[in-house]
Amino acid sequence: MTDISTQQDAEPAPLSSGAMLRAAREAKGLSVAEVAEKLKLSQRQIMALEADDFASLPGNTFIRGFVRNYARCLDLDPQLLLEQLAQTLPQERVQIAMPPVSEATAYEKGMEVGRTGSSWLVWVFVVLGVLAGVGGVFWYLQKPAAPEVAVSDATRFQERGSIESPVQSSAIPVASPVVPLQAASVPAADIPAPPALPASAPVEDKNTAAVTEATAGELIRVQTTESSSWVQVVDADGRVLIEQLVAPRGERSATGRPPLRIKIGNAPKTQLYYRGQRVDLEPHTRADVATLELK
Amino acid sequence: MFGFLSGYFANDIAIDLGTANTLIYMQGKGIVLDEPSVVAIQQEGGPSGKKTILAVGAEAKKMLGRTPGSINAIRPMKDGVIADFTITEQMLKQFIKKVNPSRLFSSPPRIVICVPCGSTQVERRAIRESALGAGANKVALIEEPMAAAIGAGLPVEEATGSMVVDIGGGTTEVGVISLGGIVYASSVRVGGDKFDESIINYIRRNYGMLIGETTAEEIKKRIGSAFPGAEVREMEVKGRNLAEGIPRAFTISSNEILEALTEPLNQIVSAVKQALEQTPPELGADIAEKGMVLTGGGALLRDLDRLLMEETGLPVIVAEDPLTCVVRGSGKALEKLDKVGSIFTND
Repeated sequence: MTDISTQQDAEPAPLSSGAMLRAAREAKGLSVAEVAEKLKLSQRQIMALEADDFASLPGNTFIRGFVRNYARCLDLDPQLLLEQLAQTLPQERVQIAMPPVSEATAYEKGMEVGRTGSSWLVWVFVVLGVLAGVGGVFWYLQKPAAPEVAVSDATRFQERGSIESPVQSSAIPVASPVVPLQAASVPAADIPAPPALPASAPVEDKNTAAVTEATAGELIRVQTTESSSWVQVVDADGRVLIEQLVAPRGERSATGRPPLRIKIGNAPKTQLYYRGQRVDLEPHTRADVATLELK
Repeated sequence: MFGFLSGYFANDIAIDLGTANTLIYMQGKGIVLDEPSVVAIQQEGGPSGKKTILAVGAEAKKMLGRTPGSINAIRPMKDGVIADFTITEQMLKQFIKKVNPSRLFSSPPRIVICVPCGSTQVERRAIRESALGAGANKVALIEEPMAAAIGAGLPVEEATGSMVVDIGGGTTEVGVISLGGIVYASSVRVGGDKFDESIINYIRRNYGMLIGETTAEEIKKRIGSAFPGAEVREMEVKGRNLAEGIPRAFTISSNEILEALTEPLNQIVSAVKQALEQTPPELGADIAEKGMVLTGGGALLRDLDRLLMEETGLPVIVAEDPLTCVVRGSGKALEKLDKVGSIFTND
């Protein structure tokens, strides 16, 4: 079953494919029935092929296939016959003329949305998100927030990264290893103390007033060792006594009305003296930040 | 909302993600890529090191079986489905990038992918996910027999039965199609790879020689046949002698390869016979009149149509350009993507 044609190449050109097949078959001495048996086609189909009667055959794809098989069976060159056939074969109508389905159902049936919308939509959402973020900042600045809300807001701004926390924007440098925690805690202290604290302060005031007056010179002292530390001290009246970055081997002292609320950023590298006595920061330290209240 | 815009900017593509070859058809451009489904991966510095893709496609195929320890040439598809999800995704990504270089304002393409009709929901999902991961906007799946039938030019939309046998690298799909839908479909996991495997096993058993997959494929293409012919062809093959452990050359004939291929061929024949048994009688009559059409690389095996003709007693024709039938069919389906739902599979 090779496709090398030798004997039939000399055939005059204008013969149709059917006539060529017929001539080749007769030259080989085969009957229609024998060829039909070989190709598993009916005798009617073989005769239709030889007579170029394409209307009674199933379709162009099949006609070409049958002719190719027939040619191979007779040791003809299928290519030659197919070229011949292409001239006589009627042009076929478009193959997939499917029953049109409405667009909506087609999408429901065949398609699944992978990513939501196109890249255009994504940009629209990004712009909306930025606008919402800016709006949130203004809302936050105007609202006298409770400490809890402030903390969570500040943390969120940290995560977004793009929008600066309103407190940080006042150009306060912070020790780098403790940034997230401080950023979260600073707003809480910056806001005027909630009403509960000042209310309790006068009660304590009666007991400690005398002592406070006595040691008026220097109530609290902070010393840093080899690295800088962020220190904040707020007294009972809500006055901010110290709020700054203390340089390495620096010292700050202050006096105010106890109890004092103290926050120290780099606690392991900082020493705190209260009424001249060293205060152990260790028990109050979490992640290098010491938060404590001294009476 | 921006449908008309994304339609303007995107290049929709159809992919025949086959076990042996991946073909990509681009709307308006025809077949733009035809490469083996092989990925070569380089492992840097120890087993836990970084993995980088060294080559994809034809370049990677040359490396199959010839790689040093640090390079791994992988065929991520097995039996028509994804065997290695991540690598398939990477391969698709590389191929899509090759044919569709990303430009400013170009939106991700819509993709039509063929799946074997016997693949499970999980396997279909894996293929869909990897196409989405490779940057598709939307993914539609089409069953291989349907794509093959459209590509071979069968009258799938008419009320007449058409039978298509698609013999791919990993699977053989038999489908009976009428009125734009699949009436019967079955899939057996026999294909070109099984042929190669059978040749390797036959030569090891009868000659005590070990040959590689690439050599086996070469033998199949050069002298493989499915039906005893008048002429016997021979080929010299080199392999490693198992007893001596030394590479040796020997000669093998087409009749021996025919014997080696008997078992996988029988599986294909029985799948075809079973399909004919299951086909409703009216459609069976149509098939008896027109016969079945062979597509896929396996259809190029010499005299496979003769074998099926003799076994079934029906006319069998080999489609024109059988290797690209499936992707051309998917491409035609792609053009109808917005209008035609019935030819795509739902899950």
